[in-house]
Amino acid sequence: MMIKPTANFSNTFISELKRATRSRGFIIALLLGMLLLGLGLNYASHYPEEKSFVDQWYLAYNHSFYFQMLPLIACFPFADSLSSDRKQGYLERLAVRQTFKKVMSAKFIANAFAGALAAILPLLLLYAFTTLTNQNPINHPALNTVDGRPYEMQELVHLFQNSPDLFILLVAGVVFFIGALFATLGMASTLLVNHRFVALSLPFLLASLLQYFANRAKLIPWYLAPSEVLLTPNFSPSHAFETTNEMPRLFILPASLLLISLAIIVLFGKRQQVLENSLLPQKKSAHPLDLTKLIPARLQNFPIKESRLQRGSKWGNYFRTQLNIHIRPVQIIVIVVMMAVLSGVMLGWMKLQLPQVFTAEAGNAPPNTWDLYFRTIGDPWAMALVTANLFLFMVSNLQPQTAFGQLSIKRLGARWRSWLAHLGFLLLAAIAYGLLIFIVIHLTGRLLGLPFSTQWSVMRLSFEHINLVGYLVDPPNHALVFATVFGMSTLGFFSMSLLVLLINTLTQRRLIGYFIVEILLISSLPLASIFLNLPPFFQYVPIIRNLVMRFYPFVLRNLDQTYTSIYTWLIWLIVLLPLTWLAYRKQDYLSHPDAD
Amino acid sequence: MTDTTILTASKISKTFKQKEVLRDLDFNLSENQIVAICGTNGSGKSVFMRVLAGLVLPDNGSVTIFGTTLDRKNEFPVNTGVHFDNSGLLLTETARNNLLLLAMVSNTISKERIDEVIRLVGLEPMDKRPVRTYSTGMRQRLGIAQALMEDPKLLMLDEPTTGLDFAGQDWFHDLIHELQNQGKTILITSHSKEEIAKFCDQAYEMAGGQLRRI
Repeated sequence: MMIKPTANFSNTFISELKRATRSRGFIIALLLGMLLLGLGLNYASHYPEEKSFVDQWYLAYNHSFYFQMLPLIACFPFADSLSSDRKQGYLERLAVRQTFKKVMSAKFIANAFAGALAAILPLLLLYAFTTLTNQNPINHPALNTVDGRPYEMQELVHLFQNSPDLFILLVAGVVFFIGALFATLGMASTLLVNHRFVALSLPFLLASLLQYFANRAKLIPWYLAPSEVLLTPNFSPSHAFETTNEMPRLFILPASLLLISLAIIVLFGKRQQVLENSLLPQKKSAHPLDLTKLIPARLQNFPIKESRLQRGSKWGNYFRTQLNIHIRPVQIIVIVVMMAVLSGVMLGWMKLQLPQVFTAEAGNAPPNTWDLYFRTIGDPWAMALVTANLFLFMVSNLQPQTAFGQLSIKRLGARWRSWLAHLGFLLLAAIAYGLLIFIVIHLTGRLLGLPFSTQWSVMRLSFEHINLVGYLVDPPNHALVFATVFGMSTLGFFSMSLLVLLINTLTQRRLIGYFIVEILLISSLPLASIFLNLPPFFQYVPIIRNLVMRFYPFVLRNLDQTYTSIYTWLIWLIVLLPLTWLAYRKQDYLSHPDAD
Repeated sequence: MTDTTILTASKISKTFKQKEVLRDLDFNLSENQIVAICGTNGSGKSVFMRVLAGLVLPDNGSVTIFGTTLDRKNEFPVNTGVHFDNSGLLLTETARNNLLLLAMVSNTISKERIDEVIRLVGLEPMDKRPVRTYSTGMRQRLGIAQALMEDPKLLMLDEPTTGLDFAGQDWFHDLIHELQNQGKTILITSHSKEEIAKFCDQAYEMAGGQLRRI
C-alpha cells in the first residue's frame, strides 16, 4: 500500500533549512569567510590612514579574494546534502512523507538560502565593524587608487561616493545572490556524479577556470569572470567595460549558472533516477559515454614483457607492473595535446603583450623556444589549473588499492615495499612529466615558428614576461635557470602527489585526495596575495609560490630566496614521507571494485 | 586422512567505525579438508578471510599459517592462494596479461603454467578480448585461476560461485574435489547452506562476529 504524503512543503523546507544552518559546514563557511575578510582587513591597514569605513570595507572585500573563494563558502553549508541523503537513504524517508518535487524544491531552496547566508553574513559583520570603528569622512583623495575604489562603472562610483551604505548593501546583495547560485550548482552537480566532494569542488573549479580564461587569458568575454559580476575593481589594463550600456552583460554569468543548474535538475533530477540510484548504490550505471569503449585497445595499455617472468627481484617486477598499470598511452596523448594547446595560448599572449619583439627589431636574438618554456611553466594560473592539475589527476589512482592491486601486494609480501614502489613511481612520474612538458613546449614553439637556440633572446630584457626574475637571466646560462625551474616544479609535483596519496590512503577514496590538493593549490593563488604582509615564512606557505618563480604581488624574488621554494618542498617531504609510510603500514585492504 | 592443523586463528577481533565485526574469534583448519563458512551479508565472512590473507590487520589476536605467525615481518601467508568477491582483474587487459602481471610479482611462474591454469578453469589463453567483455562467470573463473597459479597448498575462496550458472557451479564442485585429491586444503565462504552441504567436510556459520560449527 502506498503511504500518503502527509507533511507540507513549509515543514520540509524549515526542517531542511534548520539542518543547513545548524550544520558543521555552515560554521566552517562562516569562519572561512571571516578569516578571509580578517586577512583582507589586515591588508587594508597598509593603505592611507584617511580611508573611510567604505574604503576599508571595500579594500578588505577585494583583498580577501572573496570573489574567488565564494563558491567554496556557498557550497560548504549544505550543497553536499543531496548526495549524502541519497547514500544514507534519508531522501527516501522524506520522499514517502512528501511529494518528490516538493522534497527536492525544499532541499534546493534551503541550500541556496544557507549558502547565500553564509556568504553574506561575514560581509555584514565587516560592515558593522567598519561603521562602528571608523569615523573618517568619506571620499578622501588619498584613497583614489585603482584597486581601492570602483573606477570603471560610473553608477557604482556614484553610489560609492554618495551613498556608501547603499553601495555596501548592493555588493553584499550581489554576493548573496551569486552565493545562492553557486550553492545550487554545487547541489545540482551531485545529480551527475553522486559524490559530496563534487558538490564542494565543481563550482569552485568552474569559477576558477572562468576567472582565468575571462580575466587573465582573455580567451572568453570579460563579463564571464566572477570577479566582474561580484563588483570588484578591475585590475586589467585592457578591460573593455567603459560604458554603462554594457551593464546588462553582467547578468549573463548568473543567468548561465541558473540555467545550467536548472537543466541538470530537469534532466537528471527525476524521481526514478534519484531514488533508484540511492536504493542501488553499487549498481553500475549504464552511462552512454563509456570512455574505455571509445579508446582503441592499443592506446589503453602498453605491452607487457613476458621476458620478465621468473627474472629480477619481486620488488623490481612489482615496480614494473605499477608502470604498466598506471601509465597508459592515452594519458601521454592527453598530456601532449593539453600542453601543446597551453603553449599555443601562451605564445599568442606573448605576441599580444610584446608585439615588437616578434618583429625584425629583435635582430639576431628573436624570441626562442626557451622563452615559451619559461613563460608556460612559470605562469601561476596555468600551473594551478592545467599543468599541476593534470599531473595530480593522472597519479591519483595509486590508492586505494584495487582488488588487483591487493593481489599484487599479497604476492609482493610487505606493505612497506608497496609504499616504496609507489614513492619511486611518483618521483619517476614527476620527473618524466616535467621532461615531457619540456619537450612538448619546445616542439610546439618550433612548430609555431620559434627557433631553437642556446642563447638568451631579446626577451631577456623583458624577463617578467617569461616569468623569470632578473638575476636568473643575468648570466647567460639556460641550464642553471632550467635546473632551478624544473627542480621547483618537479619537487612540487612529487610532494603534492604524496599528499594526494596520503589523503587517499586514509580516506580509502580515490578522488578525494586529488580534489583536496587541487583546491588547496587554487586557493593558494589568492592566499599568496593575502599573505603579502605576513612574515617571510608564511609567504612561502601558499603552494603556488613554490611552484613558480614570479607571482603577483611577488613580482620579485630576492637572490637569497632563490632556493627557498626548494627548501619548502623538502620540508613537505620530511613531513609526508613518514606519514605515508605509517598510513601504508596500518592500511587494511578492503573490498574495492575491479578497476579499468 | 591425517588431521594436521595448518591454520590457527586465535582471539581475532576487528572493529570498523565502532562496529565490532569480529569478536574474539577462534578457528582451526586441518590439512586436506574442504571447509566452508556461511553467513548473512555483512556478517564478517569476507573480513575474516581478509584477516587470514593478511590484507586486513586484526585489532587483537593472531593468525598462524603453515607454522608462520602473521606479523610485521611476515605480513602475508605463503603457499596460499586467495580469491575474493571482486575478482581482482584489470578490465582493460586480456585474461593472460592479468595473470602475467601477477606472475611477474610472484617471480616463480612460467608462461606455460599461466596458459595451463587458464585452460584449467575453462578459458582460452590466446583470447585477445579484454576482461571487460567477460561475463561475471568468466571473471570468477579467471579469479580462481589466479588463486591457483602458484599451485598453493591452501586456497581461500570468498564466494567463488557467485555469478556462476548451474553448469559452472557443477564445474566448480568438481574442481575443488580434484584439488582436494591433489592434497590441497580449501576454505570457502558462501551465502548458501544448501550449496556447502553438497561438498564440504566441515561448515561454520558466522554470526555476531564469531564462528559456530554447523
